Amino acid sequence: MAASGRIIRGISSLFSRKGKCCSSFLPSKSPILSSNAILRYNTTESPPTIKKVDAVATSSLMDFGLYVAECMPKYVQKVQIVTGNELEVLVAPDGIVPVLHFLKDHHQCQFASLADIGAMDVPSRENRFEIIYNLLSLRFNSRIRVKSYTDELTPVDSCYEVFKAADWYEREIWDMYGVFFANHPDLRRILTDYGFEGHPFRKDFPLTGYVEVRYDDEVKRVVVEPVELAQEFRKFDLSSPWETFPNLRTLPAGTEEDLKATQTGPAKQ
Amino acid sequence: MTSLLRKCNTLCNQLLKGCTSHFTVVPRRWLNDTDKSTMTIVNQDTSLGILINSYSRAGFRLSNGMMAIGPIAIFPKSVLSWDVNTAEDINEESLSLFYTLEPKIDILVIGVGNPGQQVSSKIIQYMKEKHISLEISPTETACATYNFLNAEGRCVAGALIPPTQYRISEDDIASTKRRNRDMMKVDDFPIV
Repeated sequence: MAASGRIIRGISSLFSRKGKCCSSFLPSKSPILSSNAILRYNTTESPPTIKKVDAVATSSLMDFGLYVAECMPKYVQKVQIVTGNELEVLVAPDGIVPVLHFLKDHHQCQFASLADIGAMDVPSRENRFEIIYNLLSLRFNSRIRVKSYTDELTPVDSCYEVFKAADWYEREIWDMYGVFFANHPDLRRILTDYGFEGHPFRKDFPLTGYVEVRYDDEVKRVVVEPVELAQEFRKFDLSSPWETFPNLRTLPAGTEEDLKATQTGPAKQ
Repeated sequence: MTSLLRKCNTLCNQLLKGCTSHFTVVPRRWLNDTDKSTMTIVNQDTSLGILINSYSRAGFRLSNGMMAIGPIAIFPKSVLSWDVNTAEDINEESLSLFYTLEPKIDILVIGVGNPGQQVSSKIIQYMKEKHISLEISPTETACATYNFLNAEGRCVAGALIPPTQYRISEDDIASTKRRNRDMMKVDDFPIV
């Protein structure tokens, strides 16, 4: 009897503790239903999802960018800071290897790690491809981006002699965009299939490609045929005449000032 | 004092003996033979067809023991000598064998010899019209491409021209010497 009494007391204490926990979950007043939904955010601290830009760090980064431009005046065409804290150096294509050499070996730079080489296709430009080198300095804990340009036929010097890691990145750009890298040790396809024709990342290459591959049971082989889609390509229009978020009516429309490139620094031609 | 040390010594010995006797632990995952890692060398598998073991200035050594001298046209089950001088000399006639074969090959791997050589773009266009995909690269990489395309089981043929410049490693020199049975001889220049 005493044992059962203890058990019942134990269970009831469990429930009371649970009740205490539950009380903290009761919503005091739903903020969405209040008239000023935005009052919450009008404090001196900005919400954690908005990136804070450190003005001191940005200005010192800009100073370093100007220093690089002064050291290599022949090749550096522009220096800019984008998205608040990323330094970009725009370079003529002849100067890619000298500038990368400088950034890697100079004592004040020491960008010894090549993080990535990417490319971008803007068909409306004369030099439609932009080659983008992302470097990291372990010594100074900072990153820099070197950008250059080329068109479909002009080869670009490979930076394999500066960064060995450039090997496969340049192979990928050759395969996907068709940018030829001179003096590359082994420039061949890396991602596409062996008989593949075309450069898939170009903007004029269609999403579904030109050929499709299927197993043909008659000839007992995989055959390559022109692509046939059962349904035509659908482009969805995502705007609707009905309001999708009525509770956020009073919020101002999103501003893009963080994403626009702030063009500071002299443009050197 | 010394007796204390002696006692410590015997104690240590006993402890160590205890440790060593527990050292025969076999990880459970290695108890089955199927759990061990295995490695097979693709070139030694004869069911895959003829593969290329090595190349040199003179020709190619194939996986069935044969050696082919000069440019070759290689298929999964046969190899022929190919009548072509350099990569620029490839014309429609020299590729006529590849597009007249039945069943039609998927990919033709062309090894152009040294890295700088080009195949004329008219020929590339011509083969595209015949619906044969081309894979043009220096012979060093073309041999490997042909090997693993064949090992995968795709319908592939190879048209390979021996290179005149290529990288030699110490391993190549040693394997040549081993093949010629004169490992102890010192050469003035390596014969590969």
